[in-house]
Amino acid sequence: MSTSTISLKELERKAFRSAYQDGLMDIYLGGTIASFTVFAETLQSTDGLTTWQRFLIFLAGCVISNLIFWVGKIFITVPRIGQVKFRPARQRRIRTLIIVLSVIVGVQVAIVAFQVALWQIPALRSWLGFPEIPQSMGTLIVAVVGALFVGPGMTVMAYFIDFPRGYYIAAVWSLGVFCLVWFDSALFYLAAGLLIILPGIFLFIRFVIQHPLPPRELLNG
Amino acid sequence: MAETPSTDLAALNDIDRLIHEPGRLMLMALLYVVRSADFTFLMSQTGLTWGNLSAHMTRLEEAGYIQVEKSFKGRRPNTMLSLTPQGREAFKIYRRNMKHILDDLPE
Repeated sequence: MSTSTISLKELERKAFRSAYQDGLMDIYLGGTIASFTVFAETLQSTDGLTTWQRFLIFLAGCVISNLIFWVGKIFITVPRIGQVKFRPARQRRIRTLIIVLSVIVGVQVAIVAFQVALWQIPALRSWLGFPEIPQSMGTLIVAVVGALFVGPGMTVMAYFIDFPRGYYIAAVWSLGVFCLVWFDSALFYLAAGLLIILPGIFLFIRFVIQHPLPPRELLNG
Repeated sequence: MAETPSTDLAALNDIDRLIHEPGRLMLMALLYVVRSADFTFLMSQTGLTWGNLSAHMTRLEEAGYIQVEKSFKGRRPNTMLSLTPQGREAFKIYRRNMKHILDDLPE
């Protein structure tokens, strides 16, 4: 007989996290991230696509990822593990997440705007006493700022939506952005997206095997 | 004022036997931490069979501890279960009583 104690908090968390066991969130995030590869500067100089065509490809990637997520949830996950509504505390966490993310994005936009201003207006740079940044150092700064642009946001999101694999996604995504800029190769960013999608596909297959569809007459009768 | 610990085993009689049964205790605990859930979710989380779950639910519903909300999603019936305020209060009391009784037992 098990001697472990029953924690109501853990019970609620386990019930909440059961929504992520199907891997669909990973596939959705990975797909969206991978779609963004089409905007990589290195591709823009070689593939001959217009900005609109590029945007349409990105949009198609987002729509397909979204469709996979919702169709999977409605027709595969819910019939297998059922549905649940959580208490208002979870809603409050989502509201807090929105506020925190807004602040983070606001700070990031301010940092980037300041950075661009320093590059574009030499007078401002000299007035503030910042030294001129060499080309190699500039690339490093862009790579670090890019990584910091996506990492903290995803980490905060993972914390507030109680999604442990979100920390892995934050790390892989940040590394993908850094490598994209530093090595000037879109392959790294695409690889980051695939490294997020692959565990999702594995989890999805495992979920379908472990949770066979209950007989039709038992489904919420 | 602090309560004096009782040495009377008769205190165990105050435990709500309806909740005390393991299957129903699982369901009550699970429904206590969520707002509502359907049959499939409760089955997947507790490992109870449909027949067992249905029998426990009937007992709890008759006691006024849970409420069953039946609706349709498209053509498919959708049954959501949740604790009533009375059920929530009963579970709180059950939890307090069990803690109270078992806390002072020697190792």
